[in-house]
Amino acid sequence: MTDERDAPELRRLGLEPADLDGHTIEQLTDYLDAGRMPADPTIDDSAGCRLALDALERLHAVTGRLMADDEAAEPEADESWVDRVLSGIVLDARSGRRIPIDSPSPVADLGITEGAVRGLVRAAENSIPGVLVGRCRLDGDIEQPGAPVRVLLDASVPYGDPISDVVQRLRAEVGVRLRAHTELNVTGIDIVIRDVRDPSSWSEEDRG
Amino acid sequence: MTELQQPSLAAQIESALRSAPGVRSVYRSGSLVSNLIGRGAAALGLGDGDEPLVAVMRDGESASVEASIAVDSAQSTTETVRSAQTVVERVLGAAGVEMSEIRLTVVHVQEP
Repeated sequence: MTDERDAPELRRLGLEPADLDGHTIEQLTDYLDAGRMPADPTIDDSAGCRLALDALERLHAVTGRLMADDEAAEPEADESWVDRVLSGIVLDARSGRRIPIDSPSPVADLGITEGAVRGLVRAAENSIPGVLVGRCRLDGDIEQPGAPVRVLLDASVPYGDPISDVVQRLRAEVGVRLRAHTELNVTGIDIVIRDVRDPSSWSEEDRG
Repeated sequence: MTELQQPSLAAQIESALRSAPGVRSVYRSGSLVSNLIGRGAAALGLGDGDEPLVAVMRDGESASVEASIAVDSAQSTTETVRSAQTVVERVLGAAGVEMSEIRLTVVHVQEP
């Protein structure tokens, strides 16, 4: 569980300890590294932690590939983009606002959390190898059915792929996902590429 | 309104939800604080930690239900949550309980 010593690490990412149901991103990373064994119900039973674990798993897969791509021994990944991705992951763990889903029943109140939708958007990176989504924001009154909503997200891409192609594919994938899983009136999907990752550009200092 | 938790009915609804198409898991409803208190109480032996994750509040012949679920990304979330609603209605109907309100929230869309 989170204690006061852990709090600065989360706050460095612009987050609060409560965002991961009392756990830290390091605890979740250790749990992932241990193969999620022994099972910890305080993590497994937390939707926020599960969202973060899914995204951490993808992040680790990409950072692992980056290291494997480089023949030098265990270079440190550039912390700036890793931090941006991590801060987005933990942001997803916040349930945030509740987005309504229509029901024919007058006594039914159906919805999906903003955090679940951000996680859904982030998982679009599964479809485009090497792409990592950083922050994702839903801009608009998402609690009102039919209100216009813009999706704003940051991404990190591997060096070598034409950025316009990657953006086009990412935008299409995010659109498909939002249409399939929500009733949001998405009026735009704005993508900013914050980082182009090139392992060969890491400095000797970075390599340790 | 008399708010009375209905453990057995809640357990039936939880079980039915877990079997509903597209539903991957059921999470405890309520705030972070109440969940942490619940976990703390279980750790102190004040609860067995196996209480139903679905909240059912009974008021006479009717009941309100609240549940948080994770769904499968391979199926439409909107369709899954509507079908989960139907599943809950069936359980209540079979128990002869009128549904006064149902609040279902998708908290995680899980990848395959």
